[in-house]
Amino acid sequence: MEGDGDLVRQTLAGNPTAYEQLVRRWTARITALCHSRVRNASVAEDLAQETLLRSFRGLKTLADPDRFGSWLFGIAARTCLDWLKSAQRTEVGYHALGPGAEENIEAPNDDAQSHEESDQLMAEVHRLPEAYRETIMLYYYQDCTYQELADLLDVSAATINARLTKGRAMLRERLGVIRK
Amino acid sequence: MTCEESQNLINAELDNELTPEDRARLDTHLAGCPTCAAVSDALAAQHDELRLAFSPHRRAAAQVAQAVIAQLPRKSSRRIPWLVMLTSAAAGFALAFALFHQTAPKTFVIQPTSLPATRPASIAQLALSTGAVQFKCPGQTDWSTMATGGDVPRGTLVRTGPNIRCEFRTTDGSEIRLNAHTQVELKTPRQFELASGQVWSTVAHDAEPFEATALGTVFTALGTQFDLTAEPKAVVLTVVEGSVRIDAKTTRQTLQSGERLTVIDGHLGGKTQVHDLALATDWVNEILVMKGRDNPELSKRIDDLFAQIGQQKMGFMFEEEIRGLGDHCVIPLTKYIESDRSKNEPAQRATAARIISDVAPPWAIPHLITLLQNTDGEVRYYAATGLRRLTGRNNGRSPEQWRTYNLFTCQQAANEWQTWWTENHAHYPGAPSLDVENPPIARQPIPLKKS
Repeated sequence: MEGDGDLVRQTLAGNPTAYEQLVRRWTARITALCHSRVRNASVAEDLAQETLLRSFRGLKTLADPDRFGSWLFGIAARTCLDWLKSAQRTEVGYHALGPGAEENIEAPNDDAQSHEESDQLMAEVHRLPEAYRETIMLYYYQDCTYQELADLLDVSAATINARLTKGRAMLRERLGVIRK
Repeated sequence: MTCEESQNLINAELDNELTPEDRARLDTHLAGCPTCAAVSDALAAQHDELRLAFSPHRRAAAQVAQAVIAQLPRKSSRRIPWLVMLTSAAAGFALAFALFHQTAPKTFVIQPTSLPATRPASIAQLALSTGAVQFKCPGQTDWSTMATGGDVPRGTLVRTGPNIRCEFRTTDGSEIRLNAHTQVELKTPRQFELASGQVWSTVAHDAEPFEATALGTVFTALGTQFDLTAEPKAVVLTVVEGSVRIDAKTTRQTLQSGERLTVIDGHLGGKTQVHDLALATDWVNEILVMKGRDNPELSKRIDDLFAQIGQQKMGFMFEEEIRGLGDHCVIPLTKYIESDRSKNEPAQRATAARIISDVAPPWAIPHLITLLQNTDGEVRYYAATGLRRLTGRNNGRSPEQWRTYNLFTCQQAANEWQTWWTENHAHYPGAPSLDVENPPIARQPIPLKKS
């Protein structure tokens, strides 16, 4: 499999299929990151799309092609931040950043009756503290190894294990209370 | 080990990140700590639930990627991969079509003409042919037509015309196949000279070397299968299995399986890698089909073609698109998982197994039972999940347990499934038959499983 750096260089050299491969490789992780930041799946999908198109347009500014993933994560984080700020300023108000945000985040509602348990679970994932939420979303959006996640988040593989352990324990505890 | 430490290891085990040493420590702890054992079971169930909950989001992400790709400026994007895939698929289906529609081995029995009155001892027999094969024994001036089963004396020239392919079996058990427009002198059971055309050799093991000569270059088989093409000024060698030594004018070189080399005017060119040996030597398919469905060489080729189709699907299609193929994707993906093609692609292998688990119809139950013995724990997990979906049972073992079993336990447990299937297969519909005259109504793709 070609590395990200090679694909970036091919894209810059005019090979249109090279960036397609990068898109396929990174979309799930970028969508997961956006989902984790804005806690709304459909908004996250829009933001992921915007991130990947922005990065294509700005690819020439990438100093180190081998660091494409980190660079892309930076763009996604800024795109999410822009959206959160703008959402905060709207008349309707988006309170996800403030206290009591849990009450206002997305409550999945499609097919609510038949998928009640999955919806409860996803709502609890949304309510996890950011570090745990981010790791769990990245993990379940795409099959990644601990090391891949560690490289992406600039932490150790042991930290990834600890975050998944803690995050899952919190989910189990909270769902246990809800489902009793 | 403390209970707190065991929590980290339980999670690492769920994520397939546990080392064998830690697994042993964890097993010991769990055996003596019912609290942690209960937590382990609960976390495994929650892990499955999380996967299910994220399933629509994974699909949505694939659609995001498609949407982004659709907005990229394009020149000639995606054409080559699709062409490759369709070419491979066409080759596979052409072979499958030929296989399923031959009822009995087809041989053209042609009466021999003007056989010499006395002939030396036979070194080979014409085993199969798709039409008239001509021969000329030593001392003869005219070409004659050889009957299937006809003996070939030492030093006989044989040739094929347009669209004619044939196979000779030598007295030592080797096979020599001739493509159309080919002429060969069969010197001994282990020696022939290719004058023109293309030859495939499957070499029987023997102390005596097996030698092919073409345009002054000697090719000595050190393994079992190779393909040789003589062009006006060049000879192309493709090694399919084992290795072949080339003795040219001034140099000697050995080629391994999957390598190809051209000899021009006695000089060796550079080695190249042949990525698809089955396609590169597909002219022998017609002969293999004549040998019947049980021929292991044919089965191996069909499996590899399906595996290649599966690999192309995994490489160039989104998961969503593959799922859209419904049960049509089950065989190629199964063969892909079982083949060497997926050896270095663990993530794609796991995705293929997950798709099979979700879309496999009841006729695929035996394939899922086979996958229970795969060396990859993820593949076994999804095979067990698929079996549970199709049969409503798990034969006393949860999918999670299949992830961590050692191969010996897997084999034993898979045998139990096999026994169950032998006793119960009559309750499940069989595979649809391929009927070209009355094609089945196109099936709707199996809907995606929603969480």
